[in-house]
Amino acid sequence: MKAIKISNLQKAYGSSLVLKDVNLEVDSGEIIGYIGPNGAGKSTTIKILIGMIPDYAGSVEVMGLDVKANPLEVKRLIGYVPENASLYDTLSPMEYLRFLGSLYELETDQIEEKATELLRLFALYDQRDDRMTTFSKGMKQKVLLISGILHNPEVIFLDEPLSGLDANAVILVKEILAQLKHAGKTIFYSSHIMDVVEKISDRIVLINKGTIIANGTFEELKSQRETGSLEQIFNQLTGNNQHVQLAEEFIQVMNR
Amino acid sequence: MLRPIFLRLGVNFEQLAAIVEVKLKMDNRRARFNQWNKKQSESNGTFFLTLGLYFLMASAFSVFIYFSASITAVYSLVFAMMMFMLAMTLITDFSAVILDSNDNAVLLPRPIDDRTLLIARITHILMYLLSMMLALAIPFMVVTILKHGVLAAISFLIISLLSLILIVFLTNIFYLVLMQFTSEERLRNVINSFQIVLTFIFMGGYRLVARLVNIEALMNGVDTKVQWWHFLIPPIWMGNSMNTIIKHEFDSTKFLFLFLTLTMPFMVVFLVNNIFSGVFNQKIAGMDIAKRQEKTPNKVAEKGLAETLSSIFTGTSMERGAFEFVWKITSRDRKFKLRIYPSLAYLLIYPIFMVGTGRSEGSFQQQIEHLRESTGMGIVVIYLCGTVLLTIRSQISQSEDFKAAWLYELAPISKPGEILSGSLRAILVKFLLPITILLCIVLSIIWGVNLLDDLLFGMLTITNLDLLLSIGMSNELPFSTEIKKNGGGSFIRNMAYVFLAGIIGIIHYFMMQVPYVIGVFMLIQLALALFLFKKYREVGWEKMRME
Repeated sequence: MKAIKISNLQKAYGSSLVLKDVNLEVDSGEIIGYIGPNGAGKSTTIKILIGMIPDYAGSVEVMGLDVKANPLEVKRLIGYVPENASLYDTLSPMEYLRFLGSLYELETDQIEEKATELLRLFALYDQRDDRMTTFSKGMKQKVLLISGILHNPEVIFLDEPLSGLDANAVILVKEILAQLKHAGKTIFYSSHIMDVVEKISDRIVLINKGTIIANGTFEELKSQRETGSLEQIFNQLTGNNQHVQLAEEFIQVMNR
Repeated sequence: MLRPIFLRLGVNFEQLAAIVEVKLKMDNRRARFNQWNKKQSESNGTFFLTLGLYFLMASAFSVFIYFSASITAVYSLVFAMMMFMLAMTLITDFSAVILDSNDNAVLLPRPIDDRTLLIARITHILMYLLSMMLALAIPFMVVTILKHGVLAAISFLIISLLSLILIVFLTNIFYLVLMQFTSEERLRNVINSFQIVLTFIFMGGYRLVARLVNIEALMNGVDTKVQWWHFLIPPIWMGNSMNTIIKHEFDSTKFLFLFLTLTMPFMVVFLVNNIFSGVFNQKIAGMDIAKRQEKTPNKVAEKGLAETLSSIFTGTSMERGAFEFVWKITSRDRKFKLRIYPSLAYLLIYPIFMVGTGRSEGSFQQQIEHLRESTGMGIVVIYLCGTVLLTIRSQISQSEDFKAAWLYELAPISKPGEILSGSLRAILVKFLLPITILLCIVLSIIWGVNLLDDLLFGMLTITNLDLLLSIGMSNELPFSTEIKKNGGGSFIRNMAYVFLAGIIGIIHYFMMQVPYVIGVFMLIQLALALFLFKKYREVGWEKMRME
């Protein structure tokens, strides 16, 4: 059984086609680096996969379940950490996680025990009963990461999960991802930070203008292109090579 | 056209116009957090509904102008009513706009002076209040033309606009004085109590005018003698000025009233503009910084009242979660309190004023005696206090953190009704229950214990009414929509609900004339409530609002 199976996925907002014919299969225990320029359709793909956008054309399956037909079952099996997400920050991390746990209908004791431990591992134990209004972006991001995995999901969708984290937390999260993979969890990792994606991903999927234009391991992509880093490959495939000229123009306009 | 006035105030007109334009544009695009796709809704239906309601109210009221013999009395009352309505909207719906610290990050780093920013905020609010004022003033104007001629009507319009300026800037002065004398840290804590005090002051002023101008004066033209403190109440200046203009009577007192009417609005503008504007942004900016520094008093108890109560009052796990969630956020979200407490105070104070000043003569003791004879008044008090429920219900879906509502989409929620039901239970226990207990005491003191069954019956009825409306109509999850800043939102719903509750109250009054009827119906209501709660829990996604 594939962890994720997308066939002929199309999604339009009004008359503009955001996703045109996306096809993708992901095995259990894989870490997928999902990259693409701004507005390429990354977030839309993820939102469809987790059941937040139900009106699309084509077929989307997560853990063998059709997302449109069984949205609740799918939601139980997946975890999601959105980019720059808001949370109800007048609550404390414990209270927030308890509320979230109750939405998943988990046992209160179990939520509390797990949440306390996870907060401790992220060095938030002393702040577990503080209101999150005072939290820095990185601290909130840690709470969001915990909220995404609290219910022990099979497939985890991460959108720019490292943003705001300090270097220590980044190393920790990367290691956690590696271990989650060993435990057989599937990770769908979307980010703009190319060197992280290059290092952690088993496979890299590049989407541009609503279609997947590259899909393979970093080595495979590199051998096709003869360039060094993922950043350069990305630029070659999706951008134009005029960045030097663009930067010059930028300065000229500013000086006007 | 307005440009010279603003330039006169020392305001950068281009910046002001740009700020106000953008703010109005944003008001029209308040997006609702919605279920499936992020579309924008560009209409402000409720606002126009409010205008329509104001128009109707003013039309009904304007009959007095036609039949009244005393010009001073009737216009004092009209101005008092208009100013009171605007002041209440200002306090309940626009406080958040005046004290908004959201645009700090955008505006404060820019080269905009304090005065321009403050006047821009006030102008933004004035835009809305102006349309409300016109909705109120037009019916009065029409009747004034019929009765006193065109010149009087034009004077009326001008004085109305002056009263609008007066009330807006006066309210601002209250806020600004408060800011002047409190630290940023304290300001956030006292602002709610302050709004309640303001509500008291304005309501007191309104009742005072209404009492001065009794029916006798209205009908027979017997004017009360001018007292020194009449000079402290703006609507009375204005009423006297209208009299002067229509009747062409001049003497020193009349002249003083006219003088106050014409100059005071400009005085308050001057005060706000020149003396207070400096402190304003500094404090508003401070509110933001203070928010980040509050570290120590920030700890919350690990297990508190909410957890205990939720285990008593809720069934399913989702319901329990929602109960605790709503319970906690309603006590902590400062913006929520800012929106809810003034209207709570308004609803609670209103019955007191109504009961307290219903009869204008006699000692306190005699008034109580008087009240005892009319049990109908007790019923009115019960239903007025019950409307508190609706006020809170209309606000509970709104939050500054509405974007955090993505978690409702993410979690496997089969029946959002469980969350709604948990949320309603929290509101009932937290707000309606204490009010009911308070009323128990008050009613027992005034009318004795025989009204207590009516109290229970009334509260059950209101709960059931709310449940019925909620099950029948579309719902929103708690704290999932953006705060509606365009005003009118809470006010109009209160008015509509007061109307419904009024009808039920009248039926109730007739029912209580027959012994045992209330008791029997109470059992029916109780059974209905249990049934409705069960139904409410079953509400599915199709009943949730998604645009």
